[in-house]
Amino acid sequence: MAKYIIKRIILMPVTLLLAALFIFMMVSISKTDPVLNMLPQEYTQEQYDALEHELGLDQPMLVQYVKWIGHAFTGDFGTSYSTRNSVWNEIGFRIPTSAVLSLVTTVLIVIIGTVLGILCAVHQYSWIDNVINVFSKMLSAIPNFWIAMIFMLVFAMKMRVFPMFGTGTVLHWVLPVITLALPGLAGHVRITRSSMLDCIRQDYIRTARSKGEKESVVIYREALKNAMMPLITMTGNRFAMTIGSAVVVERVFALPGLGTKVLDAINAMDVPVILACTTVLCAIYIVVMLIVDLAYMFVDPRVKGRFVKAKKNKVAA
Amino acid sequence: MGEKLLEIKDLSVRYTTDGVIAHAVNHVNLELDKGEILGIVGETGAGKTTTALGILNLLPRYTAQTDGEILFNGVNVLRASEKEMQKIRGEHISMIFQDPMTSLNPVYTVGDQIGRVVKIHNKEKGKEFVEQRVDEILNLVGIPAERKVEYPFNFSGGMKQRIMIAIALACNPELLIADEPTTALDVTIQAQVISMMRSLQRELGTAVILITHDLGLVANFCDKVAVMYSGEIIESGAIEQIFDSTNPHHPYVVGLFGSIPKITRKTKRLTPIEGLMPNPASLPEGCKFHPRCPYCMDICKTEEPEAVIVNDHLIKCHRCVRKEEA
Amino acid sequence: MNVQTMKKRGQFAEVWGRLRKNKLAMISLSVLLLICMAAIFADLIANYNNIVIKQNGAERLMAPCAQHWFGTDEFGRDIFARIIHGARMALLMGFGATIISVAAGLILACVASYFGGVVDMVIMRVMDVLNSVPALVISLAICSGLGAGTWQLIVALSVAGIPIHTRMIRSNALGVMGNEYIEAAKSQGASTASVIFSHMVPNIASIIIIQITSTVATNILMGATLSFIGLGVKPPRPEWGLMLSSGTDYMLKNPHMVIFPGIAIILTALSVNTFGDCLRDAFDPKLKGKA
Repeated sequence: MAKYIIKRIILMPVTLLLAALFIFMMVSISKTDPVLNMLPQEYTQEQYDALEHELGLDQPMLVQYVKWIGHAFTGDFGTSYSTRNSVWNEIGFRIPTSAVLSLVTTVLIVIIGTVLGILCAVHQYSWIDNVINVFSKMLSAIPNFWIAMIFMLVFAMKMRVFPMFGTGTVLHWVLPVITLALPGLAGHVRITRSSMLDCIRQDYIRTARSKGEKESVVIYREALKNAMMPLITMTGNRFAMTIGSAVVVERVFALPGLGTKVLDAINAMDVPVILACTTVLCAIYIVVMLIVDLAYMFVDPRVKGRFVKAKKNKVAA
Repeated sequence: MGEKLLEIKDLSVRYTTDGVIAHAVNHVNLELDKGEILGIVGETGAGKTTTALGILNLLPRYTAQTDGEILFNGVNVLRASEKEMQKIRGEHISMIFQDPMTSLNPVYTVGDQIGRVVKIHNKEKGKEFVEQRVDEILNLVGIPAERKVEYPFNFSGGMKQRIMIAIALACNPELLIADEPTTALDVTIQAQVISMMRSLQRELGTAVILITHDLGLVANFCDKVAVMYSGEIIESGAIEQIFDSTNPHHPYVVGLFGSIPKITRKTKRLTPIEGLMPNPASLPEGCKFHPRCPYCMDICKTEEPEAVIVNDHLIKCHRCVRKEEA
Repeated sequence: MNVQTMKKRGQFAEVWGRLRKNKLAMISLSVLLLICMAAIFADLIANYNNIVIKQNGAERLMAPCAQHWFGTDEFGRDIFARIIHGARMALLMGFGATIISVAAGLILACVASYFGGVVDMVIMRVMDVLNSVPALVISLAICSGLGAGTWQLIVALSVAGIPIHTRMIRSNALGVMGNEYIEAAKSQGASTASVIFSHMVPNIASIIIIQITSTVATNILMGATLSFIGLGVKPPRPEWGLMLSSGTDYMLKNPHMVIFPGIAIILTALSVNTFGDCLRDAFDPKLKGKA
């Protein structure tokens, strides 16, 4: 089993490198010439060549990529085209903000979503189920930036309960987290519900009932443990979607995170910053996914069994 | 005579889904003494499993409606409260299901699952008692007790079914319902499981209802038989009566025996019973078997036959009545 | 036409029958069709050049009234007209990007599962890498590379969607591959393409259809989001996300600017989602049964 874990941990940076390559390729397609952007109105060809060489842009793409990776390993993400500052200085302090936002939101979604989902499954077709279902469906159709704007309009501007922008106090986080959580919550409730329903329909539930188990035990002991399995993997997906949506929410609430930075950088074609931000976001995601996959492995005895030798081999009946 | 362990009186079960009503079980009457073995024979969809689930009151709450009574030791289980039923299930009546592959919870150990049924019905006793009982019952079904820490996926189909039997017998129930316990298993494993069930039954004195479509199994194992068709019992009686070809029999039962391949005789083709069992949502008028019956008379199409009982041998057939009269 | 295909044709007729009985399905379908009509006949309802993009300083920032049902924006343009034309963009993004991703996913999945071995491994590794990048980040990367604009947006959305579809279709296709009629067809000399198209595709058709509906809604929302942050459609094109973005500056005093485009997005996504759910129920009514 340790072998498997080690294998996965080694695979992780490989995936990250390939993902970074993909992003690098995409960004390189851009027709905007960053060199031109950085030169004054009138320039000579020599100045152009000199700057191009300085930035390393005169070399083929793969060479640039390898160099960038090499530097990135040492923590050097290059220099921002816009501010001429070290990229790390620009984005380093932003990482905790984005990470905390996404993680806190995902945890909230999973906890509340699971509880509500189980509730719906157990009381299928009752009024609780119907109300929650309707709400979930509607929430899934609402873009989170719209929720952000409406919340800001109502709670921040009109009612002045929460601050509009920036960070500082816990209050500053309330609106962004709720905005980010709501659509994700809708999805999670529905998935939990259908996962629980699937489990409740299984034959082993009938066996449990025939033993004389109380209904609450049947649901919360027999069914739930089985339903949890796919949900753990879903948490990973949920986190990915949250990271993506966080970019927009950060922008609306002006939170100093990676999201706001990457959007500005795209507008300014500040390639090093774009690369660094997107790669860091990917890295966060990949690490979380690894933890989720390993957690799954420990929880599901069938998966554990593949890696731990059973005491005896199968014997014929 | 022994007091009746189980009495099913005029049981009818209807399933309602999307406005369509399916009459799964129609006016079934059955009796069982302590320690008796009853076989219920019938095709898929005849209502056997529904009857069995009815005895445990495990029919789906929202879609099934029941009429009639099922008396277990005098208590009507159809109208008993859920709390009362939970006391009965597992301890007084238990059930083995058809598919052992899916009937065990994949995420708990085998010992845990057997232990649950012991724990539920012996709340005052401690952990040691439970563990001891689990070991005992595993040995009884021929599985080494050390394997109780393993998960269901470590076991083959036959062993899983034995684990199910262990769960069912762990609390020494008075009645065991076995719903096609060997259908999902290989023939060789079938024989082993059945012989084990037989020796356990002799040892513990459990009454058994064996649901199957295998007449050979019934002949080997049961004291009496009931044949179900379209939710009704069309013939029932002691083994000797049913398997005696000189007795009158329901045409369906004649057909069942006739469709068994005989290795001692040369035959070009098998003789199946023509047609299919009717859809429970649209049952025919009169005798439910009449569309397939080679001896169908006019009265069969309009009037339901009365059950005629001669020496505890019951037949529901107009033709057999005529024969008796004649 | 073989027996399997005939069964599938009959199945679709059955599904349609079940859909017709479902009120919710019919309502959501009607709303969708209405939106499609609006998109198709947009030019008839409001002339593009004169009303949708022409600025009219005198009438800026008007609240909803008889003349302008949804009010006007900061350039004096009628919001109702812009929303109608915006439907075009939304549906284009939604359906266009989805069809491309699903088609690409279908081809990749069938190729991977049919050939197996190295081909399968390579394709799935590439999908794994793409999967390890959050969807929005993929779109961001592509938009930064290609710039902002309509077709760029569609490309970004399509690429972001490919890994999911490939995975799902492949796992279903693998299930189909295991079926014996594939071997039977191969042994009778059927060509690769014919096996893929006449046997595999009809069987995963129901999965594909359901996936399409859920992705359409996602793409509409993602497209609006990307336009909102300025990476999608460029002004003065009428796009709902873009309208919301410019409306943010004025929303305190002119909430109508953010309410109507928002409702448009929500309504479209909701009707697509609802219809998709009803479709799923219609394909497999057993799933609706009570526990």
